[in-house]
Amino acid sequence: MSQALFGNNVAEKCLLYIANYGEGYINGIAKTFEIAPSQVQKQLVRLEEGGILVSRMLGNSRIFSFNPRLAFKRELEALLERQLSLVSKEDTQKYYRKRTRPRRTGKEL
Amino acid sequence: MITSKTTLKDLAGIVIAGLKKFDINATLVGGAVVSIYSDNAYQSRDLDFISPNDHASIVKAMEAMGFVRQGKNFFHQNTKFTIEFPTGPLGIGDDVPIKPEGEIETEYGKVTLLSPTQCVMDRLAWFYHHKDRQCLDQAVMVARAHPVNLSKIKKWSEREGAVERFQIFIERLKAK
Repeated sequence: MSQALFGNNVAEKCLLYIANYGEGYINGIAKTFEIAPSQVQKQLVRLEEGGILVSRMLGNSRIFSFNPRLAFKRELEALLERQLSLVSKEDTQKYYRKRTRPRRTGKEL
Repeated sequence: MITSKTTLKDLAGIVIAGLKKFDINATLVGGAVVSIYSDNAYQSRDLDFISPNDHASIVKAMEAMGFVRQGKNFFHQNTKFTIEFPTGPLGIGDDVPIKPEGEIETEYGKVTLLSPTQCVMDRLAWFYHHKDRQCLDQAVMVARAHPVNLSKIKKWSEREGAVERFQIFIERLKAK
């Protein structure tokens, strides 16, 4: 639905992923949605150039998150949050429920 | 006696009773509390207890119950559940230490644990600070199944600097 608003399907997925997890990196997003990393990279860079996202290096990965200086950051996050609440249960479990809280080294998953 | 049919709740009762024989107090925390309050809608395989007693005494008591220690976990041949004693004190977000306000009865005795309100706050802490949506779902499960003090949770959320995320929790709670 918001694909039209965000330009395309991949951009929408990137934004939803970042709204859901707080941040994301190219391969993580690509693997989650089973899309080519190059497509994800293209959209993340476009969104960063547009001032929607910012990025930083963590180890060998570039991590993208919302630009804290974005004037309508709160409204954008609220819009994406609303959209996340409308995602089907199956898709929510499949794409948006990876564990992000810590788990001690050596503890079984 | 621990068998393959022992439920998580009963196992908590057995462990607490076994620890008491050695004058050890412990509070059940974490995902196991969610399992109990959600009537197993969320299934945990770990029982985490916070205890003020020294670890050597705990090991002795656990071994007397038939548990074998491997690293930080305790395993028992008759159950799939594992037991761990994370380092205390008991806390929720920046509220440290806290007093556990929950108690349940089991066939083997009383189990001290987080109250439903504290359990919701404990889960929300992971959502607020680690963006963990599994824990958001768990908080919603518990709050739907038990009366919780939303005003207390809201004030705590404000102290944690998570007013907007508290609102997400409220909206998920209200949603069908």
